[in-house]
Amino acid sequence: MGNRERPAAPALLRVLLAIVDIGSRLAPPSRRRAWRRQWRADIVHEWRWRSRHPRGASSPASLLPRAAGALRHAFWLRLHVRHLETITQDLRYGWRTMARQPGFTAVAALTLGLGIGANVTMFSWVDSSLRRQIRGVPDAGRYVALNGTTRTRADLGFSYPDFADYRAHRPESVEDLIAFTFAPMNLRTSGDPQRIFGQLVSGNYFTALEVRPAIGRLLAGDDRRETDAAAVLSYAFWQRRFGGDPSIVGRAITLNGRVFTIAGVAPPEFRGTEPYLSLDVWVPLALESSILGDGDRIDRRGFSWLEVLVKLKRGATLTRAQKDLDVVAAALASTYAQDAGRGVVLAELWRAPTSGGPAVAAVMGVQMAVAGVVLLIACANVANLLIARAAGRRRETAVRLTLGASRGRLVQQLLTESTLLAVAGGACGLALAYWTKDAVRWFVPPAPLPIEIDPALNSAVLLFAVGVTAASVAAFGLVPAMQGSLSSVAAALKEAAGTLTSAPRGGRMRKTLVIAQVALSLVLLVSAGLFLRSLANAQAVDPGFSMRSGVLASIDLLPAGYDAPRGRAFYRALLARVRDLPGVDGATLAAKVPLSFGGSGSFLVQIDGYAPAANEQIDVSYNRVGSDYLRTMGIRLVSGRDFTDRDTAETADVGIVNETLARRYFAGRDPIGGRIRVGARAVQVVGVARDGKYALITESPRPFMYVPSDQWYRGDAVLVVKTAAGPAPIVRPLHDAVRALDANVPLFDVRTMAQHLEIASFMQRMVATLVGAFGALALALASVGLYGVVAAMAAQRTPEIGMRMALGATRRDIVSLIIRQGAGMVAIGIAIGLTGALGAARLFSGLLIGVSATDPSSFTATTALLVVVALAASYLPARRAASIDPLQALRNE
Amino acid sequence: MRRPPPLAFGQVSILHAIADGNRFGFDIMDATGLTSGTVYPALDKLESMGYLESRWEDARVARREKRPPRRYFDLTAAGAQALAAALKRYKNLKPVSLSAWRIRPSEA
Repeated sequence: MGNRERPAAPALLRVLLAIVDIGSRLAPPSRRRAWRRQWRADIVHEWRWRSRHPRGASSPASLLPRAAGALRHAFWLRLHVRHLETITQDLRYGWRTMARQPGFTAVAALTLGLGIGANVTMFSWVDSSLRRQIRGVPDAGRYVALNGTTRTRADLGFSYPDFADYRAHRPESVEDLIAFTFAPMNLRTSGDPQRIFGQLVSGNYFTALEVRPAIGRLLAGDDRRETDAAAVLSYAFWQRRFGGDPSIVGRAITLNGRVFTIAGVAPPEFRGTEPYLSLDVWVPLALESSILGDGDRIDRRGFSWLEVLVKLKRGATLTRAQKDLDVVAAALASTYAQDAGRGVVLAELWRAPTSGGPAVAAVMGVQMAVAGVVLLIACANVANLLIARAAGRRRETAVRLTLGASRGRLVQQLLTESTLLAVAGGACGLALAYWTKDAVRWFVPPAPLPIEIDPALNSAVLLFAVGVTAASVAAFGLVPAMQGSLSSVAAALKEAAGTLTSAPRGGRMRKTLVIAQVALSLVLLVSAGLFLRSLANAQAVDPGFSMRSGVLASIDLLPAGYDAPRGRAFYRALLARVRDLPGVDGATLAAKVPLSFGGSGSFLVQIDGYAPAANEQIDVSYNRVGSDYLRTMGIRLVSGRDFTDRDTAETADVGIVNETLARRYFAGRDPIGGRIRVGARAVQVVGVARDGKYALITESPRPFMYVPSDQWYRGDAVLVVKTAAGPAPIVRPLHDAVRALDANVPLFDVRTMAQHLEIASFMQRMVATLVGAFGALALALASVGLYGVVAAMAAQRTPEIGMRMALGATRRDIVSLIIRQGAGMVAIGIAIGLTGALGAARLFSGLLIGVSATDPSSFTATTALLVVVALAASYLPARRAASIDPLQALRNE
Repeated sequence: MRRPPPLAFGQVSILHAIADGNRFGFDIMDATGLTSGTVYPALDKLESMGYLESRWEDARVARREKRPPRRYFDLTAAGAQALAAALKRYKNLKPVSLSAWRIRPSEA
């Protein structure tokens, strides 16, 4: 069996296999093993076959050119592997790269996760607070808010006759209109009364909203006739209060003293049409006098008490509907005196004036922008890490380029790796968002309302997360990809050798990224500084009243069956008792305590001696208050007198106006003794009070008047008790005082003045907290980035440093040498950042209270903070660089 | 579906050689007279186009012959169809039976 060939043949075979081994170096890594296996097997087989059949067509030696073809094959594979391989191979390669450097991968993914998570969380808040204002209705986007306008206002509600007219004459573009009003109620089943929150709704409310009952039926009735005292419960309330008992339909409940039959239960997703609130119950508008208790308002045109939503016809635009409704408004204005000068304005729900939308949208806008900046900084950090890693892989890149791998191919591989990293970051971000989304509840004011903001990782939010992840790939993935592959082969190979003279490659890009990070984080820090000052100012802002220590408590006499005369007597007796309690400095009543957010009621008035312009309506906000109100609240009386116990229903109508009203409508005259006509009643001005903040701390001065609650009686009031010492000891005696008068009357929403004032600045607190937190995060990320770059530059200069030390440089010299490099970047970053911060602050200056957008102390303090942190981040690598052994450093060279 | 570009003669002759029973790289070279530097890349290319599929020889067979298992190639249905279509253009290739690959008549 071919014994003769044996000595020579293995040598030939060895040569052939050596060629295959060399060729396998040429083959692309992903195919190397399979290629080698294929060629070895074929060569071995062919060599055997030919050795056995020496007289065959060709000798074993003729295999040499064929083996040389293997090299061509390997090379061809390297060039074409991109076309042959699927993305899965890139992914596998990327995955292996990631797994090989778990530390790098974890840091990069976590950094990205922080950035992405911040954005996803913020978006989930936007989604739940602005995008999903009405839930559980199909096509929620078709509902827009309708408000009445006058020359000076655009946030008015509607009277029932107006609503009915708009509905009867609704244009083509409007499918339907619904009307409703928010109504807190007292529920009486057995035992203590309970405070619940609901809406009075027009008969078409549920049909127009296309809401289907969970059980029973929903409301559908005539608005004007009080036939159907039916109530619909919300699903949550049904579960909470009645344990989800299905036999509830048809049972009776007592709301504000009136018996209602439970008609049915709304579906779980539907919470009503009050933004941010989750309601408990809906009752027909026709029962307004039973629930609201101050007389028939349903037929009074000019008495605006309803909120109205417009349901646009499918495909109709808001602009179209606005134009159409303008025509109806004009017709009503020319027909009815009460509607003269009134127009309407349509707005998407999130920007409707009554929803608090614009304020929330402004805050959310700032927060989204801030989260976006944090993501940019995170991306810059990861880009920096990738560039640093690309530096380590330069030899691999150079070899691949030498062997003819196209740049596009390398970019594709790097992008695949970046995408993998981003997906890992996105997953971290989603996990983070899952844990942080509910933090929005920290910022919800502790108002006595069923506020419900429930951020969810729903499909919109997930889609947003995917988008943010993709955007971050573009932001951090492309930079190093271009950087890593577009270099010339010669340069890459030379640098890979790493010589004393070589400039750090990727250095410029890395420096640019660090400068950008410093600049961006300074923008955030300055913003945080401004918002923090703004919060401090918000808490210190003068609301126009000085009472700080005291107790607020709500009372509603209507459900207890009080009529006006008995109610007046009750309140008079209560005030007398409370004023006698030890530790009480004063007690009074108010329909609404200042800074309670919600709009105050307003009168359309005429003022004797003031000639209004054509179509001018004088709209004056008012508060119904008890005797001794100004003194108790600590509102300065400019002239005239406070209300006293002698201002009763039997005496002449009196009122106290604020300075703005006096200035605007009594210009040059003494307001005291002046007359303000409210409908048929003439209110005589007896006092002028200092201007104050009535709903929001951010509001600007507006005309305002106080009227005695005795003369404008309603069953509900807030008892305001001023205490000399702490408020706590007074709470029990208050309850006792009420119980002593009538055990059936509950005292609810008992809170201290301090708690109440906290509510007033919750927006400022939210912005300051979040921007502050994001600013800190940004600073941390930027200093990590700075540290990394300075450390890399120092490492690259090790031979140089060794040389310098050998030539007599001290450690101090080295430290300052390295720090100077970091300081240079920081200085440029600060210059850019300050410019950016000035621009950014201008954008959100509307949210700032009592602090200018160019506030020097915020700018200098935050810049100083940044400088300190940045120097620390450069000092650490500098110190390490200075501690190298010069001999060692030079030997390595 | 996009129509694939017509095959080059070298590719057709390789498919032809495989259809004719040459399954291994060197056999295909011998059958077609093409060099290894042409045949091996073409095999990879044809595989990526879906006209061929490759497998590793049964390890037991290889072990019996004391050599590593070789990679061998076979036509896919798509490859057989492409070959049938190409054979109409390259009349000088010797006719080969493609019945084993069960080409749908409409496309043959």
